[in-house]
Amino acid sequence: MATKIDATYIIKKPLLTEKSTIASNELNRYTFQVDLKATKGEIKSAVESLYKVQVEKINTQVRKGRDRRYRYGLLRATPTKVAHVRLKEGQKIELV
Amino acid sequence: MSITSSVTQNKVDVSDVGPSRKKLRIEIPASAVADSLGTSLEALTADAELPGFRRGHVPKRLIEKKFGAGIRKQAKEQLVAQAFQAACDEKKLRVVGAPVDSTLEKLELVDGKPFIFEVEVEVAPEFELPNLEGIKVRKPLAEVTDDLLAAEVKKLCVQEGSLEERQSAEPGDYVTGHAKLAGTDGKIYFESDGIVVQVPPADKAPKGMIVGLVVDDLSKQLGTLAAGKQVTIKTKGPENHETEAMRGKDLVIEYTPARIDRIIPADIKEVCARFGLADEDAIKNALRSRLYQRVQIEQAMVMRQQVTKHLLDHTTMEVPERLTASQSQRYLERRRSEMMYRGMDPVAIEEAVAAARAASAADAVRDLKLFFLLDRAAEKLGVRVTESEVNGRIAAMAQERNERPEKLRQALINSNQISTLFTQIREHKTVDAILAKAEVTEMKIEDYRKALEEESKAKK
Repeated sequence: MATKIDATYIIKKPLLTEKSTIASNELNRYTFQVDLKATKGEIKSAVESLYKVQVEKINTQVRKGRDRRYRYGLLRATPTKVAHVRLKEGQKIELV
Repeated sequence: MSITSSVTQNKVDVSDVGPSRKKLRIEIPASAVADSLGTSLEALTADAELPGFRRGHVPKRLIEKKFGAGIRKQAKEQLVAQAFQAACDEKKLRVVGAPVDSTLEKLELVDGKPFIFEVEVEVAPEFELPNLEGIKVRKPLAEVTDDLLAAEVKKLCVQEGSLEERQSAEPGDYVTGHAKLAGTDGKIYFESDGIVVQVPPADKAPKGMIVGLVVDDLSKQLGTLAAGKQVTIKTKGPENHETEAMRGKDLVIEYTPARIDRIIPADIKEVCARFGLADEDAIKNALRSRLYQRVQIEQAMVMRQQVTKHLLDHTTMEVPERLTASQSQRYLERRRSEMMYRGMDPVAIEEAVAAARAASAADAVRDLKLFFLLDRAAEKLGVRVTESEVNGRIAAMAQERNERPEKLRQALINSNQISTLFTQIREHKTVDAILAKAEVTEMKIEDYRKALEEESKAKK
């Protein structure tokens, strides 16, 4: 039997930027940083259980880690996964 | 007595809580609270820069979530300060010192609710100022006597002397060590290393001073001091101590000497050589001008005392029977500042301050009366103090103490004594202004002393 992963492990944090704030107000779309291995299904159930809302659609993207130059040479930061979660009409998440 | 009014937007209620003390209950309306919070939030929103947002584009709710507590605190401080000032102006209260309140910090601004707070303030009492013109004053003529000069030379030899470490302490020796001052209930009021205690010299024994407290039988309680040997001294908290909790309490001082020194006065010839002077006469001549300056200060002091006595004798004023902590502190700072101006050496000043702590409450209350009296007189006579006058006074004090003026100025700023110095100059100028209109009779110092003795006999 597969073990159920904790929702807070999947959803790392909401991303609060000017763009995401506008998207949440106008398109009802919220942005979260999620675990790199999380699937859309897992993200959906995590958001639904954490915020008690119904999710309509999820788009994900993996952001590559930036190369940074250190005294020992170039190092690449770990990539991060971002999920754009659109909620069903009338649903809302209070992030701020 | 209680007066309520709402001439300004705020509701202010003033009530008496003792002589020269008032309690203010101020209610700031909900609209003013909301305005203040809104203004602070808008000001911050326009300037705030958070990661992911351009400057000025951060949502208000996010700002409030992140900086809400800070905004509320800032708005509260601003509102309280404005409301307090407005209340004092409206009720025409002459507030002395800072308002006392322990609950204000716990209160928080809530949007949409009025903000109510209470503060206790010390106010100048109501009294009628006596006539400031034509006061009869005796002026003893200033002269530097041979005895005064000899004592100053002796003091200089001690100042230029060297320290000799001793195994056990004898009267007059200086002991450095760790001191802990606690109540009999175990509450520690003070603890520090490097505390210097002079074993009471023969002319003062058994009375002595330790951690700023005068102990009547210090010699007896100290016994024979030796490095590393702890002694326990028992005493009673002085009635005018700045720490109210210590007043009248049984106190225990644990003192562990770390080092014992004796000052070996320098030989007069050695002092002459050090200062590049030919002989003792040359030193005396050099000291004479400084002493003359000091004697003149003493002369002015004596005349000022006569004026202040006249003012006190001719004024009826209601003041508290017991001083608050702030009043005690101000009283002791005034005494310290006065003695510094008179050129007393630091050890003697601290001894005198310790004695002042132990003095009767009547002395302290008398000083408090004088403070209010001279404040009113200064206002009536239009006395002002300039920055250069403060600097001049610091320079004179620095010269007396053989210190650099900048160093002394900084020390006074650090110990918060600049305002005391300012008040002192204002008071001296006020008394001098009264003296200028007084009937002054010049007389020799002996005649002055005789007159004083006769007066005190007549009183008895």
